[in-house]
Amino acid sequence: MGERCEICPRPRVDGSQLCRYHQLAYNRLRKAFESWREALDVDWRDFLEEVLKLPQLGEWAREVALNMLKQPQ
Amino acid sequence: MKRILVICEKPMAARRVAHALDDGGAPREERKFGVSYFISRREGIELMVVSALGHLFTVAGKGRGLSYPIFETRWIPVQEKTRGRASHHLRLIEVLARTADEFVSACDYDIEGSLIAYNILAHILPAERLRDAGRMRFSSLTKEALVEAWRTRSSTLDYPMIMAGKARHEVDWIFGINLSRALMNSVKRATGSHRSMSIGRVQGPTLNFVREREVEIRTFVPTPFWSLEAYAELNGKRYRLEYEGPRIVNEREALEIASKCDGGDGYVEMLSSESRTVLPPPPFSLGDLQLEAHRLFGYSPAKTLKIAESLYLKALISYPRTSSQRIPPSIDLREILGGLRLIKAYRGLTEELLSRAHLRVREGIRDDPAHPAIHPTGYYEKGLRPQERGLFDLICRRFMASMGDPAHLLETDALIDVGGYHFHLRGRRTIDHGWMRMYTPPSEGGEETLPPLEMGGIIRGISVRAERRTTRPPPRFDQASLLKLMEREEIGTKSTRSEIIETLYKRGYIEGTSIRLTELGLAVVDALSQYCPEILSPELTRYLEKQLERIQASEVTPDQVVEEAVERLKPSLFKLKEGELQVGLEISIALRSSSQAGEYLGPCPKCKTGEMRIIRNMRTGKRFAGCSNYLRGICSNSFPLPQRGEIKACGEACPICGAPLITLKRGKTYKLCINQDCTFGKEGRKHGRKM
Repeated sequence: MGERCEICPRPRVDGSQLCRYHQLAYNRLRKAFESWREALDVDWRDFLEEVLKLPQLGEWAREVALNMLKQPQ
Repeated sequence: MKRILVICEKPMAARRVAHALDDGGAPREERKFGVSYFISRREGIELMVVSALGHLFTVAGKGRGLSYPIFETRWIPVQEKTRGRASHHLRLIEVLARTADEFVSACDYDIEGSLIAYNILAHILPAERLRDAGRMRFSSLTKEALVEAWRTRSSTLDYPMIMAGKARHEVDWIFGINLSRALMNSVKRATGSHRSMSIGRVQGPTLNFVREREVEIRTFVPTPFWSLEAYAELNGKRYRLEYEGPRIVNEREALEIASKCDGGDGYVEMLSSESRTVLPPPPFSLGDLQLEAHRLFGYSPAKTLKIAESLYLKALISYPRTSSQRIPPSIDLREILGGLRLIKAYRGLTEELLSRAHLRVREGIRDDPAHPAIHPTGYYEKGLRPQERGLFDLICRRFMASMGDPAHLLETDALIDVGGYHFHLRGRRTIDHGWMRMYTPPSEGGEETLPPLEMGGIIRGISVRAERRTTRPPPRFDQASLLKLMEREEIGTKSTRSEIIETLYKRGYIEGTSIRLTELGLAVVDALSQYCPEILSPELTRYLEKQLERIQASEVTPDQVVEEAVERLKPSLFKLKEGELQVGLEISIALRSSSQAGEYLGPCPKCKTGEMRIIRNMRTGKRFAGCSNYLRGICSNSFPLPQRGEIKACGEACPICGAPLITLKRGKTYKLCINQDCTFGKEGRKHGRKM
């Protein structure tokens, strides 16, 4: 079996540390960040902390956001 | 004396047929092999009315074991697969057939009913006698309908319908057995142990719908927007105004508009009133009834079908497995309303309808060549169970409403300028309730009467605030909305859709009232999407449905359709076989995490993102409800649970504290909140609310 996702036991997609679902969640976080920056002029870290407070944030997106926050700036 | 064997689908239907056809209305009931049958006398003929028990024959493969692919099929009596009463019914029919001169099918008039009788008759009769078997066609089990069906019975069975039914069963069996075995073999190869799994022609695309929604929800990232909350006070009453502009996605802009408008005066720039006509709804098709019963009573589609079938067997409603929204002219509306008039609750409404010179049902678009829309027969019996009574009332009211007058609403809209920004003040009043007096529509909102307004008038002191909100993920499916999607995508049939959803629950692929895809469901659908995406596509299923319909229209033969289905399936099976080990490994990981996860009870009331699940303490073996986010270090919310009795999720949040509600079955059934500090159902009771 190939290498596993950084967050879950699913296989990684090519060129990423994440599986297809966590990669999709990451892409959506990046896209949503643009809207947040335009709306509230926040930086990436503040954005992640803000969205983590929201119950509507999807489970996989939450896992990615937490994983990103653990990483050094 | 001439003897005719009449075969019905279910025991209750046989009783009704026997009573309806007996000249004196009192057939003789006899028993053999523990099964009742009836002897009726009609115009000098003896009728032996006997029942099946649904299907007495089923599709099986040739050969043994769990190997695949397997494309050869045969029909066998169900008792060869399962022991049960079905074998007694078949034995009785075989014995009675020896003394019969003629044979008539009185099974439900649809594909399944036609196939049930055909399989029995084909088993007991030589081909030349099978050709002479007749068919009664009816849409309700009232005496009048059955006598008419007897009088007009055809001299042959409905072969196009039978052939379509046979092919459907064979195609579904071939898809189901091969794909399910492919999954089971892959798990066995990866783990060395057997696990019962299934996937089928309709299950696949249905599960994929849930997967697509689940991915949307789990990867959803909310984005902020601002809404302008505007209120005006007129004649001492507060009215809400709607901002006309597009959604505001920038905080600065929202605050700027709010500060410019707040406390300002509104100028009535335009005033319009429009009368809107709302036509009556058509009578129920099965899908419509299932959606409506879910909306009003929270019934699952399968439960609604079961209750409707019980009402049909009591001859209170017409045949429920119909996709029609139409009532043909042959149905006597006055007679039905005359019958319903005897029910006190409907007296006023029926009398109003009966006083009209002409009665016309507002029909829907969908039609079903075999049966009309679901409607009451005009009969009623006391002693119905509450759920039967509720559904019967719904069907009667919808039927009456479909003959009602259109309703008329007056909608008022005032366009108000506040500081250069436009807001709407909308009102709605019903001028004539029409059919709405008989039936409450689902989508029509409440009334809002506006005070008298004039063009150019001024509304003083409008309050405007900018409120930050965030976008929401799409809602999860419930059984009704999933069924609606299946209907829209034309996969499955009106009779099978609710069963397919039930199967997905039974297999552990989906869970909860608000449907969640389990890890196992996700692993199965992922494996299929990687190796055989065609199996998950609604196109293939839809195409095969059309082909099956074409058999009924005698445009293709059943063999052609079965062969084509096999050819479409083969490449998928070979690809699955190639990736067997990989598929097995992925599914086994999901199986492990599913078994660790515990049964889902509902969302966590504390962190809002985790799931409350039943978890067992590894050391003591005691069960408790714990949040799934515990393992991620996010939430440690937990509640103790009763240690005895069967616990099931209710699918509802507690109205008091928001924690999931459960049912506890311990002798009696109790509805409880898992939060022991909550007062739900505890007023004067120790163990929660008795159901």
